[in-house]
Amino acid sequence: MSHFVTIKTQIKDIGALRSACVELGFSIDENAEARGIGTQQRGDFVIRLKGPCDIAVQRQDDRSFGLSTDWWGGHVEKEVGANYGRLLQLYAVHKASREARKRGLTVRRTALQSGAIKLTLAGV
Amino acid sequence: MKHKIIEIVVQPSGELHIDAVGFSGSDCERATAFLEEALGLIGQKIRKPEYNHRVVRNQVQNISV
Repeated sequence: MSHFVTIKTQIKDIGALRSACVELGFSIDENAEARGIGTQQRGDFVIRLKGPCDIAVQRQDDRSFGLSTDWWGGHVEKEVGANYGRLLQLYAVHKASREARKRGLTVRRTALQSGAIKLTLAGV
Repeated sequence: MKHKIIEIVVQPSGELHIDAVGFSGSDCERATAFLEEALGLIGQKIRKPEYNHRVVRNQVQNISV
């Protein structure tokens, strides 16, 4: 082992986001309105959740994508975790796996008891 | 020769940790650079003792982080 890095996940790849949403059972619409409680918000993409609110995905100046939603009533948190945690977790898993496979690495995914997901990349 | 792998642990919060295992010197940074670039904002980076391991005859280099 020679170095250890901590990273805060940023969404940069809509394909990986779609894969995460498929795993969670959500669809994504492009250029649509996200539902809120008594309100709507336009998104470059919209993640359709099962409850009354959706998540708007908007391009940022730095080429990443920002997420916004109506957190009222706990509907969104129930589906994607506090601060989009579960969604970001699966996005990172799919994005890392895609990037690794593009480089010919093998990827093994393991669910840990803590709720974390471990990826082991080999063939480096 | 050590078996080289990269371990990524993604927390339920979305924060993730990357650990390059079996590397020496700065090869580990080259090996994980594509992940750091692709995944997001780099927070803490810790170089372990093996990072400074080089086959050098007369000189030992210490890099403080």
